[in-house]
Amino acid sequence: MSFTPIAAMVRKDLRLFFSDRRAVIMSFIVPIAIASFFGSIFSGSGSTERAKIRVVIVDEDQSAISTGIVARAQHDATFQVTTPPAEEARAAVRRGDASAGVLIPSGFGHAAGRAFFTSAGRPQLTVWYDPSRAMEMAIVRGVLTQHVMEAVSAEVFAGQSGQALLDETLGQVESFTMSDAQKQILRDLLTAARKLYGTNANASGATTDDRRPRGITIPYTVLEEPQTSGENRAYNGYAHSFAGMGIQFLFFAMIDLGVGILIERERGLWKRLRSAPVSRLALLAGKSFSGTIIALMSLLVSFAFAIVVFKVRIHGSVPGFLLVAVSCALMACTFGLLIASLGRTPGATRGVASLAVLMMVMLGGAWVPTFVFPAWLQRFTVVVPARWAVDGLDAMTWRGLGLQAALMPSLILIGFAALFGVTAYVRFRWEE
Amino acid sequence: MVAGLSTPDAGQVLVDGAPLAGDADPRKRTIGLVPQDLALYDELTALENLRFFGSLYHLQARALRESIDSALELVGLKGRERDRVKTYSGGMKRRLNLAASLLHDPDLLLLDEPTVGVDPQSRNAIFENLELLKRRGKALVYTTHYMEEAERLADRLVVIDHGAVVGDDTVEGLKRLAGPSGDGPVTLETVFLAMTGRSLRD
Repeated sequence: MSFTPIAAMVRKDLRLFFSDRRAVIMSFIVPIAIASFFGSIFSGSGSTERAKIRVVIVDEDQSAISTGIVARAQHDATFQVTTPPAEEARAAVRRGDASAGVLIPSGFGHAAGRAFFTSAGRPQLTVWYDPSRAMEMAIVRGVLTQHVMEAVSAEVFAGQSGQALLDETLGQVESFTMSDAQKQILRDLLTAARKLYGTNANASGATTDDRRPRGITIPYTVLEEPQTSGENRAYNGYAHSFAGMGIQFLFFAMIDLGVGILIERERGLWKRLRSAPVSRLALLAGKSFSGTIIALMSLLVSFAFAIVVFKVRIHGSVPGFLLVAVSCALMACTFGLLIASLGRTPGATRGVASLAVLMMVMLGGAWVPTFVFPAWLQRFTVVVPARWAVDGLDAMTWRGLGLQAALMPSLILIGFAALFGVTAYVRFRWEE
Repeated sequence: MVAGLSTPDAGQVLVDGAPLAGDADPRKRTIGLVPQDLALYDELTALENLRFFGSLYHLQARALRESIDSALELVGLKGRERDRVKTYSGGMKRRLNLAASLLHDPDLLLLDEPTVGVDPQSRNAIFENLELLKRRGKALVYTTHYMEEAERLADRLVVIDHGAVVGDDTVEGLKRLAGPSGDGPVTLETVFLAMTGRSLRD
């Protein structure tokens, strides 16, 4: 195979690429702009205040327990709490102004206190939620459980209405369906709780917060240690966003490559190419080289920007990073050839290919973390090349893993490249 | 089929008495193709286009430069070679389309309606180029629907209708074959209509 025609094709494709302002902007500027935006959202640098979850609480009970719940929620750093009337609260959730609304019905405090020991007649908390914010709803549920448990137990063990509740419960212990031994233990527990009132009432010199009945609290604290490339290295979200967006726009650039081949065919250029003494393999090799070079440039320029501006670092292996980058570029380029081999008209092909790329990068975790997907979908992502590309680049940047961690993603990406390339060669419409 | 763009259903194409051995057979350098489409890269200059197409035929360095100069001279585009093709008129593009097929100095030139949509001056210029090539001993296979073009250029005419050969002779031979015309002088146009009928084609 002579390299003169291949080199000529590469030179020509690069000239065409750089003469197309739209292609250059889409390959170099747009990915940097979008990755910068996503990076600023997910950077986790701590320099920006985390957004609070807006919650509306309607307290129709106005008991010590319900006001305790509201007060605790208002002090919680996770929430931004307002307390409008019920209809206004529902409307706020419906409009999307609040992620969730909590209705504490009348009688809730009394019923919750009784149910604390017996679990009988548990009152209901109504939670209105915005179905488009299911992830926030899970957080609201967890934090709310903590505050309700604290408020109820505090009131039961140390609050003003707690003694009455204890007395009432003590009087009912005999009727509970439990063994005599268990009833005795419960009597002892409730009697001991009554004694607490005296000690709480005599407490002095405490702050306002300390004087508030504490109740049951979470019996542990959490030390959060992010596992990054090193002990004192903070997670740099830009590394992941530049990997994800870099891969996405690298695919888009290669859609242009594939569609470009179809346009060349429409304009009769492939008749001229095919009439020349150049093998089919050389024709596709020329396209592959130029596509890989363009894709690699797009990815490396994006990362160079991230390194200079956002201090993204290759904490892992530099050769490993380059290996993954070249494998990504080769895979994306052969994807472009596959598009050219399967497509018919440039317009329709661009539409279908863009959809395929968007699906691929979404499933690959370039937009949102894959853990939000159902389990079956997470398993499916192993057949999505974008996932291996993003994983490989993440491993070499913020995860700081060694060259060995680059081998598996690179091999899989090269495998995809081989699959796409062979399919493109076989399915390519060689007859003019 | 001769240019290797499609595979024959039957028979074979022989070049110098032997079939071509695949797409990369060096004997394809003896064949040049002028497609009906303007098979050029609009965003590149004429020079860049010619460098690229010449390289496909393994021309390099001085040989490539000389063949580009010669082709540009022939089609009258010398001096405009550094302009982007998208700035060219339709006639100039047609002439460049022809030049791109001549770089490797083929013995056989396949021309598929190379004058479609060009002004009379450019058409005449193309014809003068083709007549010069003919005088240089090149074999031209020329596809056209313009009978005056065929009459001006062809030594031998093949009339194809619905994929079948309905006439194959010299211009004079075909005129004799068609016989005298009742309404006036026998022209190639009347011969063509006599052979293919007057019903409209799709």
